[in-house]
Amino acid sequence: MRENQQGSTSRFTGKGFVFSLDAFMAVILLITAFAFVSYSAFQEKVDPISRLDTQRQLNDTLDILDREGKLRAFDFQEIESDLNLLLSKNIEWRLKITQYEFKRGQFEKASETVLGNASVNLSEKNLVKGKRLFLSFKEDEVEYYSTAEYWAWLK
Amino acid sequence: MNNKKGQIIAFDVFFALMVFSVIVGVLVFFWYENLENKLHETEVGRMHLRASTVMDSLVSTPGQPNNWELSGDANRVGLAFDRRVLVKEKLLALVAMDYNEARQVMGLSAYDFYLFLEQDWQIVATVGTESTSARKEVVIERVVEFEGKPARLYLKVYR
Repeated sequence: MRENQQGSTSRFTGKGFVFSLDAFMAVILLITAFAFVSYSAFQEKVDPISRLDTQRQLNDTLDILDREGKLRAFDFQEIESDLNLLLSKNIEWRLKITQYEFKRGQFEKASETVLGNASVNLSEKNLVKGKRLFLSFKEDEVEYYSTAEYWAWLK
Repeated sequence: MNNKKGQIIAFDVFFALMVFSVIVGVLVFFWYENLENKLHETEVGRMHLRASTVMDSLVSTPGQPNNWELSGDANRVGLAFDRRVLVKEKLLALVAMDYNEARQVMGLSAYDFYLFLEQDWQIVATVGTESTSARKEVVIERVVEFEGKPARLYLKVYR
């Protein structure tokens, strides 16, 4: 019989004891089973197709704004209102437009503007990000080389 | 006590069995619930992938043959002349096409669909029928250019 484990009824007091090792094992097994079931049932899901759709919408919209010359015009209010108008209502976005000037034989950062939702949770599982490069011209010469970097996620 | 034989206390056993059965029941319930959700997600995922591919083909390609809107004999439907720039004639040809034929050439023969183009808060064109009692539905939305202005194209695929 197990010496260090109490079970059944004490010879001296008549009080009942729990088999502590058995109970411990049973609780461990139970917790493991619950953890396994709940892990697969409630784990946070990453939806690759929704992420792809979000990315495509952002690419579509920036492509159209570029085609219409709105990106190159740097009219930030209009860019922001167009993005709000064209993107799905369930998409949160942030856009950072950085302009670079060609000076002294190299590109130097001229300005940086952030539009949309300023705070991005980079650990957000469904976060998508991308970058679009575009040029703006003045008298047939490149005036600015610019990047429009975006982050988007579902609300 | 001289009697060394093991004994069980009936009430304790009954109570333990009850607790055990409840726990197993809860686990089995969650397991099946989870399994059902997974099966649903898998099928919806398949529909989503199909709808996404079809939509990409619509907004990025002219279709096959390129001028299918003139011949009326399309192997595959596309609405664009350039990426994201839709052609009105192609859209009108798709609107005029028989619904079942459109399903076939769009690659959606296993599903029903509803395609519509929205511009300036107005619905400009629709193809197919809106679902009224769909069990499963996915919606894909793309931003396109139509007649020189931005517009939104929606594709609802349902079953």
